Amino acid sequence: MALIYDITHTFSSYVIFGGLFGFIFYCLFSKIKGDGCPKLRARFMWFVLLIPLITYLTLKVVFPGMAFYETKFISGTILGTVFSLACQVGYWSSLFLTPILFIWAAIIIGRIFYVVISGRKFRQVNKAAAKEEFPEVFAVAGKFSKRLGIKCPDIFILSDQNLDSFAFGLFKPGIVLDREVLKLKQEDIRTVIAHELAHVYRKDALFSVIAAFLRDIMFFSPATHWAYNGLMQVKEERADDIAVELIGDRLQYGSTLIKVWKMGGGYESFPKVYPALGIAQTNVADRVERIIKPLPNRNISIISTIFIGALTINILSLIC
Amino acid sequence: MAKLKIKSLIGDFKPKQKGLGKVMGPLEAAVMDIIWRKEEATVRDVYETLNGSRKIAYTTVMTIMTRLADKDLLLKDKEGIAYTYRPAVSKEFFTKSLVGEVMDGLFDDYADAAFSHFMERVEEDEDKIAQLEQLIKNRRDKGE
Repeated sequence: MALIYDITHTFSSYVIFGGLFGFIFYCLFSKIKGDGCPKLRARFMWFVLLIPLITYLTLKVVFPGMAFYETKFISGTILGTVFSLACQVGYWSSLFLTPILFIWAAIIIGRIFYVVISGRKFRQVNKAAAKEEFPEVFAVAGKFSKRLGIKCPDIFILSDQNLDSFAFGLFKPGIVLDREVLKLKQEDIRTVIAHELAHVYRKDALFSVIAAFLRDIMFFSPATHWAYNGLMQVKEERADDIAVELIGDRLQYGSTLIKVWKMGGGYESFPKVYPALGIAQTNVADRVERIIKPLPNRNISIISTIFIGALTINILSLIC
Repeated sequence: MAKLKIKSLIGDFKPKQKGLGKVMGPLEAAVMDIIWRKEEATVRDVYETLNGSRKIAYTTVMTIMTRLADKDLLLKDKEGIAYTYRPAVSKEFFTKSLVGEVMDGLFDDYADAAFSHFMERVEEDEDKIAQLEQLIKNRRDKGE
């Protein structure tokens, strides 16, 4: 039991303060580089979700005692007091987290099973569309899949989805199109298909589950919820960017986004769990604006990311 | 009766304050919250609950509760030598009436401005989307 308390103590310190540092670095870099760039945002959101786990594995499992600094160098200073307090926060968190550890783990495992089983169940209940029945849809999907370098996923054409087209499947992807979407103009249908294929290309269903898993194991930190919600927004924006490249017409893309949003009843017909073109949990107006008035696509280099990560690991090593 | 008294509370409406603080003092709001939660309480019950979170005199609590009863927000029944207080209206009814009174007051005197502001709040995104739609149309017309 003492070992479990020790693990939760250290891990929760890294989660709380790692998330905080990630958030501070994000604010700093978005000021320097300019906000609104999905690539930059995505990198920092993943940073916040991954750094506590990477720090723990680095400092406690793979290279115990590897930290560049040792606590003794700062003991007795104001900085030492600050880090002791941070360690104390981790200790208090462990008092709350350890007793609920098994329930917490059971909920996380249950959620993963639910996602896996619901995906399989979906395939059992619904039949994939036949190429002969919807030749135009398959022609567009085939052409775009080839350009993206992916295998054309299974396509499900279903009724009563409330215009909610979406991509799903962790390892065996599929896309679902509402039958009503097929009543739109050819350009709009191409746009919807391009968007959903972009999600398949990016493996968004799989990465969403990984992000949700990381959020769940660190549920007690506000920064992880901020990062997870940010990633959900970013994945729509990245899918928008890829789809725009596929169809080659920003204005058409914006127009379809608005059209689908309107047909779905605007915000009243809100969200499903999957990424969707027009009625996902994202602000449609902001997405359309970003598409038709694109900003320079800035990012942070891999080297800078590694440097920030190493710096954060070293700072966190002073806490516990 | 309760509605009439809510109208009198509006005179002290402080829009910048949070929650019940918009129409009451902070202590009055705290007392009302306790009584809504307990459904029935004596001055001592409320004093003991409040005393856990702040330093307060028994007589202050008694004065506040008497004042709330005078405003018809609390009803009091004599039990032995002590009074038991209960809320005159539920919290939901109170907040609903309060919002109704404020909105009605604004609509009575500033109907156009109040309605227009209300619609702006509701339609913010729809308006932005309509503007973007127009922008797309204009750029299309220019041959982009």
